[in-house]
Order: sequence, then C-alpha cells, then structure tokens
Amino acid sequence: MDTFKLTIDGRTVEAQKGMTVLQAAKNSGIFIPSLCAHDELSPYGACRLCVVEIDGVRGTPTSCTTPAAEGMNVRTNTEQLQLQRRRTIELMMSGHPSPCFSCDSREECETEKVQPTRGGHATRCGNCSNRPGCELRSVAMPNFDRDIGLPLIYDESKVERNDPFIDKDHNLCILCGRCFRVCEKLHGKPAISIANRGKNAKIASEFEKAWSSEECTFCGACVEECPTGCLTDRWGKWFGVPESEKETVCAMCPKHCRVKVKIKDGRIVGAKSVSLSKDDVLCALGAFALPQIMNTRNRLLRAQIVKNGEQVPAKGGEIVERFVEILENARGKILVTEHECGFYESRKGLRAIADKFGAKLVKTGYGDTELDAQTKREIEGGNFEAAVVVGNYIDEKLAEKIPHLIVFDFMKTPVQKGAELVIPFAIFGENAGTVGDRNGKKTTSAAAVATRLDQRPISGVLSEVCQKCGINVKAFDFEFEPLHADFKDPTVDKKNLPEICLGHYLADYAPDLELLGLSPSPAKTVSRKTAKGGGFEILETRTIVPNFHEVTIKAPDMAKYAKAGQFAILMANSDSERSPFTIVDWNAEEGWVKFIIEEVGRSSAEIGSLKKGDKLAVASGPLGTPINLEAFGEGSKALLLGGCYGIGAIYPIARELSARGAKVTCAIEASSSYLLYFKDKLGTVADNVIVRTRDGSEGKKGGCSDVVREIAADFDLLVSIGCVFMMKQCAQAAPENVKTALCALNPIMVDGTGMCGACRVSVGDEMKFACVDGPFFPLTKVDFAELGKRRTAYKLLEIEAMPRHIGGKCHS
Amino acid sequence: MPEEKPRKLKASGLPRLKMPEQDPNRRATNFEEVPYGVSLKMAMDEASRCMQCPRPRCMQACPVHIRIPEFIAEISKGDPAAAARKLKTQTALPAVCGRVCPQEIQCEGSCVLGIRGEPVAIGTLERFSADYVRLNNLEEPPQKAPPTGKKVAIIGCGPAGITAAADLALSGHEVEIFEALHLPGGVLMYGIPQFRLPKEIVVSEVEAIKKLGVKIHLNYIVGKLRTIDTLLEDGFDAIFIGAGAGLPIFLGIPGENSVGVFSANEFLTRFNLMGAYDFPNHGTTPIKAKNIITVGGGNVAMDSSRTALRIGAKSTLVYRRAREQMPARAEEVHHAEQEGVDFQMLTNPKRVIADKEGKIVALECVKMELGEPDESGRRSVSEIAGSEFQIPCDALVVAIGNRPNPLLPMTCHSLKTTKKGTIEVDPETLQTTIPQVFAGGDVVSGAATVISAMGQAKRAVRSINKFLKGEPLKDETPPATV
Repeated sequence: MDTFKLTIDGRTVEAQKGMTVLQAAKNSGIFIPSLCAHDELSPYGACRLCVVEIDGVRGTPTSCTTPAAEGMNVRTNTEQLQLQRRRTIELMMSGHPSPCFSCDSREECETEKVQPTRGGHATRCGNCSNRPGCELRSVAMPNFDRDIGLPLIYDESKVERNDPFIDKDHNLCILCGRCFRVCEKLHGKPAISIANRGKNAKIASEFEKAWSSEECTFCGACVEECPTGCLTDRWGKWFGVPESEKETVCAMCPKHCRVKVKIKDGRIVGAKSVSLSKDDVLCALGAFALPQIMNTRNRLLRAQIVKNGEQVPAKGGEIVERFVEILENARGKILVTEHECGFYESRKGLRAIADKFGAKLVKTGYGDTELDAQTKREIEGGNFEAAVVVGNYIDEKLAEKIPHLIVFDFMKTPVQKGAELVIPFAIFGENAGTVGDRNGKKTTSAAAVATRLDQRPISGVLSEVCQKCGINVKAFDFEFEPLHADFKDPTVDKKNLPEICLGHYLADYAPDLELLGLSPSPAKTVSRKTAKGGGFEILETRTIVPNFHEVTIKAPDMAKYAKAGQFAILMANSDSERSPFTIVDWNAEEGWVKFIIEEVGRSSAEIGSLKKGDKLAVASGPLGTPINLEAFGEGSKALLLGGCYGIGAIYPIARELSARGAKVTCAIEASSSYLLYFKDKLGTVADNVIVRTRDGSEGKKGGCSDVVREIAADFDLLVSIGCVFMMKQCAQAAPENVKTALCALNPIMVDGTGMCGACRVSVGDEMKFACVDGPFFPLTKVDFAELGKRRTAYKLLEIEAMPRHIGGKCHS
Repeated sequence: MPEEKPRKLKASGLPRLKMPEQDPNRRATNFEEVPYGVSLKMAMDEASRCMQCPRPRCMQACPVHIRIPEFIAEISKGDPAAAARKLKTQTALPAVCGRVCPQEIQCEGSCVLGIRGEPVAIGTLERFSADYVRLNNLEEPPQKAPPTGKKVAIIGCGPAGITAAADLALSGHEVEIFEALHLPGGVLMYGIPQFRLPKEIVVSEVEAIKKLGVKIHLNYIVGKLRTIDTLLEDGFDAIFIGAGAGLPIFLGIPGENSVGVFSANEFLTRFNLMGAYDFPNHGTTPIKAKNIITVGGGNVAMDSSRTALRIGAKSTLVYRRAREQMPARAEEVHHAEQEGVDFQMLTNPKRVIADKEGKIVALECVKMELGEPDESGRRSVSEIAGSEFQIPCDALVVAIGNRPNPLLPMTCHSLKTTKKGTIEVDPETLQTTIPQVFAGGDVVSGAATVISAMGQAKRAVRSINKFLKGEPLKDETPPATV
C-alpha cells in the first residue's frame, strides 16, 4: 500500500493513501474532536469540530473531508482552532436542550441521580436516556466547564412516537447526518434525510410521514449511530450504557443473521448489527424485537413433571429418567417434531431418538402454527402414545389425545398445563450451538448470557437421554439446507418479517411489531381490548411545560375537604400503581381538584396520556396532614421555594398564607426558562416571585438554595418543595435562625394512608411515615441521603414497567 | 336454636376427612389456592362423623356461636344449600371463615370427638357448603326486616365492616360503608394472600352485601373527608368503626430504614391488592430478592414467608420464641414448613446490615432461650449473650404486628383511645366514648383474627339495634346464643 509522511502538530506521521487528515491523525494517536465523522461513512463535514489549520490551505478546513497528502503541515490545536471549536459547540448547545450542562450543581446532582429521570421528553441531560452515552457531552466537556455563552432555544417539538420501536426527540438532533448516511450506505436509497431548512430542518422520511409507512426496514442502524438521544430504542434506552457486547446468531428466521447483543446485568438489553456492511443488515426483529422477546415475562423458566396425577416442579435427573421411561413404554407409537431452525445438536438428538424408538419425525417450519393435517389426523385417531413437541404446535384439544406429552418450549403456553413433562429451553443467545448459515454451511452461535432457572439447551437434555438409551448421536449427522430460493428476506423489506417463531406469535412479546403489520395471537387480540376502569372524570388536561401536565379532575368530595399541603393517591387504570401527587388547586363549589403531574416513569406517564373526558380509575384523598399555618398571619413573612412539581405544590400554601395576611415571597427554580410555569399564577397570591434558572436563561443563574442563602434569614417561615436534591441543597443553605423551616417529602408510597410503611423517613432520631405524619417535616432534620436511596429502590424494575407508546398511544 | 331435640345420630366412626391439597413443591411456585376443596360425597362422609351433641361445645367455642351441628346435619343429609342458608343467618362470610379461622383452637379444638380421636373437620365443611352454593349459583338473599328509616355508617370494608353491614342491612337499616382503599375487603384483599383466600371469594361476599342494599364508598377516608362528627351531623343515626389495625409495627433496630426492609403490610399489599406478581402488566413493582427473611410468628408472618417462596426466593422465618409459642394457625405453620420455609426459632433480630448504597445485605440476630412462664402463662425469652450471628439476605419482611391507624381518632377528639392506640369501648356493648359510635374488630382488639372481628361486629350490631330503638344497651342479659 502507498504510504507517505506528513506533519501533524510538529510530529512526522505516516499515512496511507486515501486517508483523510482526520484519519491520519487518529491513526497516529492524535486526537481531533469530531461528531459527524464516522470511519465507515462518507465524509460529511457538518459539525465542523474537526477543523484544522494546514499550511498553504486557506481558512480552517474540516479534517474529515480533507484528504491527507504528502508533506502536509497540519496544526490541530491552535488557540484560534480552540476558539472556533468552542463557538461551534456553543451553537450546537443553543439548539440542544442542555441546561444541565451549564448548571453549577451538575456534578453533585449527577452523582446523586446516577440514572436520568424517565420523562417523556428529554428537556435536559437530567432526563435524557442518552446521558450516559452522549457524544455531544463528551466533546463539550473538555472544552467547557459550564460557561456556554449562547442562549438556549428550545422549540418544544413533540417527541414522535408514531413509529414502532423508535422514539424521535427532534429537540436533541444536531443534524450531524450520521443517521441518513448510514441508511444510505446500508440500503442504497436512504429512507430518511433532512427535511426543511434552517431552524426547521429535521430528520424525516419523505413528506415527514411515519417511517413505518415508508421504505424504512427498521434495521436500527440510525438509532445505533445517533450521537445524541434524538433517535432511541424506546424499550431499551433507559438501561443505560451496556456493560458488554457479544456476537451471536439470531434464529427467528432461516437467514440466521449474526447479531451483536448488548448485555447489562446479565441480560440482553439491546441488539445491533455486527458491522456496517450491507451483508450484515438486520431486520426489525433482530434489531429491536429480539431483546423484548428474550426478556418477556412469559418466558418458560421452570421444568415440570407429572407425579401422582399432578404437575409439580421437576428436580435434577427426574426429567431424563421420565423421558426415557416414556419413550421405552411407547415404542413405535411416538411422535417427534423438530424445527427447521433448531440447533444442529438438538436436531441430531431428536433424529436419534426418533430412529431408536421408531417414532414419526415431523419437521416444523417458520410460519407454522400447527402440525400438518395428516399428523393432526393421526393424533386425533389416537395413533400416538407419546409425543416430543418442540415449540407451540399443538393445542389443548390435540394434547388430550396424547397420553404422554413432552413439551420443549421457551415461552409459557396453555397446552403445557396438561403435559407430562415441560422442559424450558434456552434459545439462541443463551445457548451455544451450531446453525446453518444462508448457504447451509455449519456455523457456531455463541452464548451471550447465562440461562435462567431450569432453562437448558435441548441438546443437553437429549444427549443425556441418548446416553441412557445407548444411542450414538454422532451417527445422526446431517447437512443443513441453504436458504430456499424463494426465501423472502426481511432485511430487505419489512413486509417479509416472519410473524411466527416456533409456533409463537412474535407480536405477543414485542407489541410494536403490530405497527409493522404483524398480528398477535388470536387469544391476545381479545385480551388487549379490556376496558379501562374509571371513576374520576378528567375535566381538563394540558401540558404546561414539557413533561409537566396540569390535570383537573372531577372529585367533589376531595374538593370540599382539601387543604393546603395535602396530596392524593392517583391511579390511571385499575392495574396501575398507587402514586401520590400534591393537590395544587381545588374548588369546592365546582367540585374539581387540580394536580401537576410530572412525568417521571410509568404511573405519571399513564396519567399524562389521558385526555379530557377520560376517567382516572382512582383518586383517593385528600391525604397527609395539611401544613399548619396558624402561626403565620399578619406581619409574618414566608419564603416558599418550589422546584419541578414543587412549583405547583407551593401555590396553595402561598394562597392560604396571603389570605391570612402574611407577606409571601415565592422562589421558583427550573433548569431553564422553558421549564418554568405558574409564574403569573404565583404572582396573584404572592407579594414577590423570584425566579432562578440553572442555566441563567431567566432570572439569576442558580437555584432555590441560593435564594435561601441570600435572603432566608429575614423570614419567619421557609417551605421547600421539589426533588430530593433541591430540598437537600435548601437544607444545607438554611440559616440557623429561621423560626420554621419545612419541606414536603415525596417518598414511594403504596397505600398513602399509613398502612404500608413504604414511605418511612428518618427525621432527627425518629422514624416517621410521610403519608400520615407528613408530608411536612423540619427541613434541616430530614435524612435526605436515606430518602434518596429509598426513592430509587426500584429503579431497574421501573425501567421494565415503562409504558410503551405505540402509535402515539400510551400502552402499559 | 330450634326447640326439637336434635336427632340422636350415631357417629359414623369414619376417619377424619383429609383435605386434598396441591403438592407442596408445585404450590410453592404458584399463587393458586392450596387446598383443592372436597366433593359432596366426601363432605357427606365427614358430616356423618358428627355426633350431633345435645350441648355442642363447638358452638360455645365459636366467636360468633354458629349452630354448627345444625349445618353439619344438613350436609350429612346431602343438602349443602340448606347448610349454607343456615350458615348465612349467622355469618356473612362462611367461605372466608372456613378458610382462615383458627379452627383448631375454636370449634374443632372443642369437638368431643377430638378428646379420643380426631375432631370433625368443621372448617372444611363450612367452606364446602359456602363454595357449593357460590359455584352452583344457589345463593338466596336472606330475608330483610322492614325498613326502619335509620341510617348507619360503617367505617372500613374489612371482615368486621362487612359483617356489621350485612347484619345491619338485614335489620332494616340503611347502610353505607366508607372504605379508604380502592377495593373493598380490607385485610381479606390486601393482607391474606390468594393462595390462602382466593380474591374471587371476597368479591362475591362483597357482592352479596351490595345485594342487600349496602352502599360502598371506595377511596373514602373518613377523617380526611367527612369526619365522624360530620357524618353524625349529616344524618347518620349511628356509626360502626371497623377500621382494623393497619399501622405496621417495626422492630426499632438500627438500619431498619435500609432499602429492602418492608413491613408485612407493604410486602403483602404489593402482591395481593396491587397484583405485583403480574408485573409489568400491573404497574406496582414486585420485590425482587433471592433471600427473604420474615420476622414474626403469626399468620401474617406465615403469609409473608410463603409469598416469598412463591416469588422465587429462599425464605427464612425468624421468630424469637419457640415453635410451640407461634400464634399462627397450625395449618399455616404446617403448610409453610412443607413448602420449604426455613424456620429459625429462638432467634431475635438485632441489627440490619446494609451496603454503601443503603441496601440490606444481612440481618444480625441473637439466639434466645426460654425462661419461666410470665403472668399470662407465656414463657419468657432472654438473649444468650455472645450468640450474635448474621443471616445474609436481600430483603427483610417485618411481620411482628399492627396497631390501629391513628388517622381516625386524630380527627375526632371525643373518641378516646387506649395506650395501645385501640379505640376505647365498653367491653360488653362495644360502645365508644361517643354514644352513637360503636367499634369492633382489630381497631378495638389490636391485631387479632378475622373471626374475632366478625364476632365483635355482631355484638356491636346488637348494641346498635338496641340503641336505634332507644332501648337500654345493657339491661337485658344477652341470649345464650347469637
């Protein structure tokens, strides 16, 4: 290969012909920041971070688009270039919701909240699923402390959830073009590109239609390459950066694509193609559905055996022993099924036992949901004394005709209830084995994660069975067939996606597939239609700022008795969680109650997705002890501090204090100006409203704790309501001489009436229940560190519970 | 009781009926009910064992004095529907009582047959007749007395509230129940697990009182919405408080607020009321743990430790006294042991050990030894010095009892409570310190059993009936039965 020499930052380095300056630098270990550049994609020069100075070249060319040449003298890090890069990043940040980046408490907050809050919109790093892996942050960090000079413009475009699997939060897009360049590389004609110009430019398919209605095959490459949180895998995004990646084979169709699975905490949380070459493109199943299917709660995990007429969990060698017993007793009257995608080792085992015991061997294929008609007739005719069925191919009625049924499966099915042996098997990714590639050549598939509970490879069980019966499995060698000539490749067209694998409807476990035209099993279609229970009508609901919903419900009893500082337990549906929300406003005569619902996970997202006229299943309240304001009347001064949902929560307190004649100052904080609300509403009941933003976009830069530090000493009453971090900061800043300093706590609750104790908090030396003793406690006595830990106790499970927004609708 | 002398029956002398049950290995992995129930033939055989004693001791031992020989006689005649009708005149919840009563210390414990051999399986027969009519839709609404024009409010829709509501409605009063949670049933719904008391039964019992015209207000927290005082002002002539004992008692040991330490109430509520075993179809997060320790020796501790097994954990039960002193129902202890709960007796928790993230990793315990019986006859226990040891775990369930929720008395100052937080009542009439207000169940007795709550509710209803008629509450001697 042709090599030549050039000088970069005074060092003479070697480069190969065809390299760009950026590649030449990288090749010699010289770092030039870049975002849009990608080794495998065409040079684009969009982000302009990789600018360099080259002797004899005018201006500052982008190194990703400039071919390296013999004798070039390149400088990558002059003061001029640094300044230019800073300006570039500032420009990007001004269009990217990054107030957290500018926040003075960023490090402290992010150490405490290890996982981002799961809001619907990524309005800041603090609730962006991509925070742990954000490339924009990582290029900005070395260049900035937090002093981004340009103001942030947030255009509040809605998160697009109309497509299966992919959430599109265009606010985060920096137009680096990696997505459509990778699409072009893999599919020739890209399904997406940049629509509109200037400020309105965004990544979209033609005419901004849903991607599912266009060419897009949902191969996942664009999501994988997106450097920000703009394009994300809706299901997997909250798991954070995977711990490792492992290559295995997807066996959901006969093509047997190689796939790289992402692993976190011993489970598969995502998948991507093994390379960015056309040959390795995945389909929607491999890229998105695979982890959902592998992790579904419907996985079969326990082996069962019938003893004394009753199915019980099987122990140790019982399975193999009974297996052999059944085969021997039913010799000549046995049915064995093998699946065309099964591992070589498993199929060999099945063939071996079929041969030894004179069984009828039937092959099941992709797309089959039942056995062939002839075999079914034979079963109905009582021809079989025993059957070994791999997958979901016979129904309960047929099963009745088989006295000794052995079922191998990876999902739970109704027919298993009546089977004599139920053996859960490990599928691809959980189990190493040999499969045929598209040419029929044997290739190995590695295990990426460990099996769970009783799951075993089929071949493991069968080899023990064969050993016991003295069968030489080796004799049953066979060759795989190459892909059939009329095989319809799902990576080319999503119409070709297989609907069924091993007799199971895949859309049952990855419901997004329904949007791609795959149907769920007939049984599932019926159960999805369950009506939502309801009791409390939503009179009005609106999103006041992104992720915050102002919801007014009809609840005459609650409206009659509500007092400042109380909360209510709400449930969107009868199967939702019971979650507490502060009562923000009410009207006894009109019989309504108002809440500010901050989207932080499933329960709040469910409530937020309800429309006017819908009904909340449960609204129970008012709960908690109202704040005691008796001591604060004419002549007393109160400082109320609110952050996030707390801005709404201080409103009724301000209203009551002002009715009592107290002088009320409200201080509210938000990450940025576009997250501030109720400013005017608070102004109607407070004498003074102080605004602080973490990025300085409105009011002074800072938070409520700064207000406390500056002016709290002049007040008789201090009330702080917001996230644990904000209240902790206020507690630290509170002067000692304030007569009364309170905070309202928001721990996890189940019942909210003092029954479960989930909400217990340490206040001073005492254990208190926030729901009945609180929510108000002395600000400086609360153990916030403990509260923070208790609040995040379910973080991993909460990710699993995240609602799926399919077609714009919130599904649980 | 009817005047005619019961027919002198010769007991059949058959062996006691053994209830068929799910295999312990199987049931430890599911939430289905443990006993399968019995057939009519089996029930008739068992009923034939009853001696039909002229002075039945079983009846005296029953907190609600059910006329046990009479309903058993109906079963032995092959008429479970008639048996159920008899039962229904005295208990609103036969299907529940047949499952959760501690029969071995009540009716069955006093059965004459038990002196020499095995007592009649009264609980099983009660359960059988109630299930029989429910499953065959043979339930007939009992006769209601003519309307009295009086209104009674009931606070709490648990066993006491349901019993009181049924009896009050039958007496002709207008009854409204106020329930704090979003489903009726109280402890039957949130506390007792599905495998011991299927929720369909509770639902059907609640439907039955609704058919009597009882109105149930869900999500209604008396004290936070209307108070006892305002309910009286709003025209209720009397109030029955059956709010139960829902406030969990914690151990008071260091580290108890660590992540992974739960009250039994929370642990059970998540799985029972909120359906966490069906997560994520149900939104409430389950408790994911591999080693769960339950502290306590009562029924709730058994329920918790057995639920722990069912969610796939290794389940250890820590109790500071010996097995004989466990207050739990014998059958529950037996079932727990059968299913594989590891019993660590004479062991007392001292300290919760947590990791740096505040998550429990072990429970430090100390060994105890039995001493002399105290005044109550219960043997005292004391720590064995230096016997501290640690049991690794990732969840701890505290099931050492409950106290009544202070919410109600806190909002009604004329309602006096005892030092234990229970509502002060006249032990005979169950009248509280407010004349129109009566109370019964765990809110009076502290945490006790379903049947004792029902017994008290029935007594309270008798007092309320007298009170509403303007009769003196105490003048008459209470009848021997009912």
